[in-house]
Amino acid sequence: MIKEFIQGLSITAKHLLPGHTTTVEYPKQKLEIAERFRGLHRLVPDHDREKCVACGLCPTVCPAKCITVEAGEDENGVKYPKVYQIDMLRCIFCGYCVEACPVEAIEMTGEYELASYKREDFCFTKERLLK
Amino acid sequence: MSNKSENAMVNLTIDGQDVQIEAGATIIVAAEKLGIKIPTMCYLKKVSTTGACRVCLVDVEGVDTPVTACNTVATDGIVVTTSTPELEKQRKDMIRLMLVNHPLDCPVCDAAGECDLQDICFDYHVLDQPFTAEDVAVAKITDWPLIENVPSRCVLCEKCVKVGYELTGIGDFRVVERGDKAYIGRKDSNQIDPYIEGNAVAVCPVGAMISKPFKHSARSWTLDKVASIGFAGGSLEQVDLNVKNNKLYRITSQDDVTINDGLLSFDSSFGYGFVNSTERLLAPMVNQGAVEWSEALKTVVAKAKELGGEAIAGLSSARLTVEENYLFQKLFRAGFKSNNLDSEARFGMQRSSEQLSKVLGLRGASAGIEQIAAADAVLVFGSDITSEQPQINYQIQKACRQNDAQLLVVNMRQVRIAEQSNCFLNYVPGSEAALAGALTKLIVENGQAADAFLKKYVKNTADIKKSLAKVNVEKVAKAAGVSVELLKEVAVALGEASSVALVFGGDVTKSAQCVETTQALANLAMVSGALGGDAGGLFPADEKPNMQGLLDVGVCPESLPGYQDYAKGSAKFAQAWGVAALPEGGMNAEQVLAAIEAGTIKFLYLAGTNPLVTFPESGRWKAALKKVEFLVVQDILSSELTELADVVLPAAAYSEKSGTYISCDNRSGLLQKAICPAGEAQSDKQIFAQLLEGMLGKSQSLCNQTILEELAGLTDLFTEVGVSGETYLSSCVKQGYAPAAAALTFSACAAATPTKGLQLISGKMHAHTGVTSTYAAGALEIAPEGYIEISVADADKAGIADGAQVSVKSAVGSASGVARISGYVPQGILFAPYHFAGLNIQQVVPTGQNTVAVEISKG
Repeated sequence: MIKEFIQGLSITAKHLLPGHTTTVEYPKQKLEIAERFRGLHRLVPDHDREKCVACGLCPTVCPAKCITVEAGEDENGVKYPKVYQIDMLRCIFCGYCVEACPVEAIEMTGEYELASYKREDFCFTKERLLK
Repeated sequence: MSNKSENAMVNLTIDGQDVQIEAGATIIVAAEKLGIKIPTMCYLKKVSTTGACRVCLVDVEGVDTPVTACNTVATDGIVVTTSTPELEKQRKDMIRLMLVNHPLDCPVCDAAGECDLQDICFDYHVLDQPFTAEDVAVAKITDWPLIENVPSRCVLCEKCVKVGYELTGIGDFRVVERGDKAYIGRKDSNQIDPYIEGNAVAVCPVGAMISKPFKHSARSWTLDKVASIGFAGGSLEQVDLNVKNNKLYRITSQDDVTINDGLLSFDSSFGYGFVNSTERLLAPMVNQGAVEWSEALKTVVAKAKELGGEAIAGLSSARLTVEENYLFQKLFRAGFKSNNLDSEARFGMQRSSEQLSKVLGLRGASAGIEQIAAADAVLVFGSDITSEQPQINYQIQKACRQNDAQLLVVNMRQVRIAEQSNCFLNYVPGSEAALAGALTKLIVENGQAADAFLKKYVKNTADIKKSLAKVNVEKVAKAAGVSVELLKEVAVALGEASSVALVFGGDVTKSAQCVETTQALANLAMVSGALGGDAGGLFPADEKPNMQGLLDVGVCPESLPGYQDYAKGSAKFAQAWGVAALPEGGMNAEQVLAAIEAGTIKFLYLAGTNPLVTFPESGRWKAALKKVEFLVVQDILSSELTELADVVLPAAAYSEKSGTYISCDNRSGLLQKAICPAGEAQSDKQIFAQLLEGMLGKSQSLCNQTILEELAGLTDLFTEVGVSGETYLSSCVKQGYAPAAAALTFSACAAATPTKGLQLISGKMHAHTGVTSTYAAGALEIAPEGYIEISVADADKAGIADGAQVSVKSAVGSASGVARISGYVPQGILFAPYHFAGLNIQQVVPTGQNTVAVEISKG
């Protein structure tokens, strides 16, 4: 019986040895995220402007109702989002906006470090989303 | 298509089901009766069929090739199949062909979500495109006012063209080019007051016709639709207020609900922008400083108590609801102890209404406006009806197109509807009453008078001959500047018609000869038999939505609600309202103005009305309002008027409140609250109720139903009070009109008093209504500022170029603005729209008139 006991403890001890811990020591250490991870949104640029045409499908499909789009028209008669805003406090990162987009103008990045001290910081405007 | 055709029926079978329809109806109508939906792109029930899209193909037994269901008349015994694999394939190909060069730009197209092509592609799983064709579509047309046309999206269903030609009669879209190059273009039309067919946007099955004010502002599926009624024209069209996030985005309408059948007036299509104006009053103000509501109301109550009823006067508006106007007069009579109350109706419809009541016992129109559509002849007398009441125009168009009615137009100017008339009498101002008298005489002389009607209903039949004997047709024609032949032609057309609809408007009700002309038109109505039967009638038209309701509730010193004599009825009302007695006497608007000038009226309350722009002699009003000790202005928009005010009470706009409007033909419609009032604004009803509480110390109900019931209990206006209907809500039912035997009076005929020299007419232009529309971007796109229309001859004589700055001067004042040379006014006539504070043409116009002799000069 003792033998089995020692055998068991040795496994435990092995795990205590350096290099064997399963804990990821965030933020010193960060995991590599999966390719299809759904983090912060990004508006895809197209030349000098955003690809988005302000069709309004993403706010329509959004279950958390966190997207605000206001359409405008530029001097060439092209429809564009005058306002494009995501309230990250309400977003549930479901990715439906990406799925709904008919022009592939929005995608989700691996960015997940979104904590902030101020409420206003969670409101991601078009300019921030284009970065 | 005549409504007199026999109602023969045919039997047919569709998809194994038997159905019976009227002879002449098409297969698609029969299918609809069975609840079978045949897909279509170009079919619109309210216009003639086009048969352009070929999507509605059906098989008929014994016919080799499929036929179009929309324009194939059903014959007896045919057996129709609406769906077979082969038909579905052909339909799908038709849709593919429509899509050949259709840009797949649904994400940026406003029609997405309510696009018939989108829906049909979804229903038929159209996912591929085997066809190709060269794309020859012309570029987007963006230089039209208010509508943008995207020819590449167009499927050439021609609905926009047909709505303009067949329903409103004044639309100017047409198909230009042919074959694959065909697209919708616009005819050159009136450059001064261009008409834009807003209904084209509504009927467009795709996104080819786009409303510029609405463009890109919201996706159709995100809008909530609140059923309500239109805010302009006294016909109460059914509308859906499209709202989102407490903002009004656009106004639409539904087919088959009520008389307007989905057709909107220009105002509803494009002129609603004032609701969202940045000029809205958002907070109450005392001495131009923002205060709490309680303080503003306290200030008003304190001042009213200090000055006493004798020194208080108030003017209300036909823009306010029945309930609000009822509370307004209650506030004045019971609260402020003042009977000095009146409205803009004093200078117009009130005078006409009094006369009609006196001679015909009639208030408002004699029948529903749908009876115009059934008439054999329509006489439009002194009214720019397409501007004043577009819904009456739609009924006239129906009469002309479906009933082949004669259209006779009598006007001082070449108004829009004159272009379509069979006869147009272009008269000289001052001859209108005599002209109506001459027509009456000619009808009687021709032996075409409605003798049976006259004998039964008119009490002084003997006077008819006597008074007509004094009329000299030749003299009248000469004075009026019309040819005798034309006059006779009009008389014959009226006499021959089995039913006559008589429409008159602002050029009669606002004129100096209002009383005489109204009486003469009443005579004409009696003689031509317009008052009896189930077609035609007498229709006074007014541009304000609740003009009839305003008159009904007695916002005038001489009568109480329900047209009860003030002196006689005041005891009854005092008891009902729980006050000792109602004040004696009372001043009308004219007298109020004089009293302000004399200093006896010290407190003036203006509810939704702007005398600085809309009242005749507005310059005199301006001086008076500056002088008045205490001015309370209750309005929705800031203006020069609110700057003069001691207390400003911000009111809710029409989409922000509920209440009843009563149309010119005595139908009621319920205004629905679709959004919350802007800022701290409150509905006029709330404001009056709170002031009433402040004055009397008793609480006043805000419930529309309760207020209407109180009104109904004190008057015999209504037969029923209660909300009914779903999409078009009505809150009460008014007494109908039926002349009693030997109750009508034939009045004496007035002589012509034609004016001499250059005459200026002030009136309504189609894009604007009242003053509020001058805060709506859509209406401003058509006319950003006032102008003075002048004939080529007069302009040449005075050496005035188009667009030059001119001033006009009359005995009461002068105004200056831009001259527009126009073919729509005859020599000797100038026309200026009254809506604009900048031009302020009403300064020139004397009280009780709409025409005035002027001198015009450059600069």
